[in-house]
Amino acid sequence: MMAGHARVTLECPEHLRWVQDATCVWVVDARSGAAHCLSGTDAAVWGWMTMAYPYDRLVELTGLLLNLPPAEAEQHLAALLQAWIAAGLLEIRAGAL
Amino acid sequence: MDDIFAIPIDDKYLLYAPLHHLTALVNRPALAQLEASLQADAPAHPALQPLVDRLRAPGEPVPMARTGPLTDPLFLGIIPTRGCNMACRYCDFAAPKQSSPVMSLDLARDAVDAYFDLLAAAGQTRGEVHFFGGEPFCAETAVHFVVEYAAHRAAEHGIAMRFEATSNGLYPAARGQWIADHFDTLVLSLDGPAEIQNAHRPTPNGHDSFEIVARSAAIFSDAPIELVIRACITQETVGRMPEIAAWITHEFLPGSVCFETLTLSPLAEQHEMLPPDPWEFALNFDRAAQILGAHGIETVHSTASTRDCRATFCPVGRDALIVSPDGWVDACYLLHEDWERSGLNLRIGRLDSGRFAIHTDALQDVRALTVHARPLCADCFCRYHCAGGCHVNHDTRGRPGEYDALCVQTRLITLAGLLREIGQGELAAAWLEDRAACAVSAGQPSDRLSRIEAV
Repeated sequence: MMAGHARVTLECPEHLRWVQDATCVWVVDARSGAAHCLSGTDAAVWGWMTMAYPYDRLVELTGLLLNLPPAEAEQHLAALLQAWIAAGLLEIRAGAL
Repeated sequence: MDDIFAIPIDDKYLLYAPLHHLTALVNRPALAQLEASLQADAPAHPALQPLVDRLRAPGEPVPMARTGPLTDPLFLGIIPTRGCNMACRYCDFAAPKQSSPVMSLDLARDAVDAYFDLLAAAGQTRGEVHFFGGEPFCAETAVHFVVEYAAHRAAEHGIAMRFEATSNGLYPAARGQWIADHFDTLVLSLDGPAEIQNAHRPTPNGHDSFEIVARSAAIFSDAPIELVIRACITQETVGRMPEIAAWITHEFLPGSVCFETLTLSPLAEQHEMLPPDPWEFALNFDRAAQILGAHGIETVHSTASTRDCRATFCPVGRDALIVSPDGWVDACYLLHEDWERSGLNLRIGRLDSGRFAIHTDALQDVRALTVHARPLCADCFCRYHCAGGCHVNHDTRGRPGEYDALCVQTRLITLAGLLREIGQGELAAAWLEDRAACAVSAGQPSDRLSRIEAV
């Protein structure tokens, strides 16, 4: 799973596993056993990232999902990605966020 | 007496009252006594009295057209594109494969919003989104967005959602896995083992499709998604239906297998492909059903399901709201040109500023397209199951009892299924082997007990 634009390429660490459950996406760290349950917007964005959509498309989809103008959608998405990086769900492969 | 039917099976009769949920095999004298007793409201022979009592009791209501305001749509249909990435040799879809428009994401969002507004206003707690094409996953962003957005809106409203799609399975494994993770039901077109699939359903550049589609079927088999394999049967493959069934049981884990016969089209004729003989289709359907049934897999022919009683065969008339890439809201997923050729208008409205603008008169006209308006079906015992079949492709304006090939195969498969339901499997198999006996059963002009000449 990767998402990138001019500045950065993100990918999911190899030790993470995820599964779509009925109400959420479970993301599990196979090394530590830590589990994250993503629901709502988070689950939608995660799902789109698994389909390798480029960053601009993710902004557009997030904007449509939350009924936000592009600038606010980008802010929302960037905050979400930062949170996932901080939680170890994503890592920066190239560039800087 | 109105909806009690009797169909000859060799020297016996199958008594069938769908609204009373009653099926029985009787001989001719018993049938005559039953008819006389019901007609005269008189007691019957003690052995027959339980049947008479049951038939005199009120049955379930006659299936009728929907009425009233639009508050309970059957589902939201989304046609992301009419385009397709295959070049099936019998394709009867006249839309351009490569240049068909794709639904915009704004329109897709409007459709979902309009649907949830309607469900919420009516207090509904369940919703369904069905995707049709072309091949819906050729416009995958629209599908990805609709699924996530509908799930998001459903969570807001506390509505339980189902997602279903009809697909050709020709895509990368990652897309197949996403479908397996997010959909409840997938109807997958797969006509059989490699040589059949590749001959029927090649890619536009003439390459084989089998390996990729079989890989998709394997992905769906390993997932909790309900997989329905839909196989198109031709005159050439009808004798191989049992073999196709056995192959499916070895390779995949579908919940059901749907065998449908080829619909004649200019393309099919160009490739010299013909529908099967209806008797051969029914005979081999029954054989295939036994093989699949032994593995817990249901075998389906769309017009021959006796699971429930209905007034219309398909979503038409049941308030399905099917949104096309240009924003029209239709009752049917087939092409507008095809309805017009059949003298029908199945357009019921348009998406307008995020709401459904439904034309009440058009909705009522579509709702009125029930079996009660199909003369051919007036006296057929299948009338509340088949309900006349496809409104667009099956002409039922003929006189009652003038059955065509589609009617014959439906009648034979339904009869065999009813016989098996009452433990008469051996009789069903032997009767189906006898083409002349089947012709008598399928050709009876009126099945209504009150009009059976033998009685």
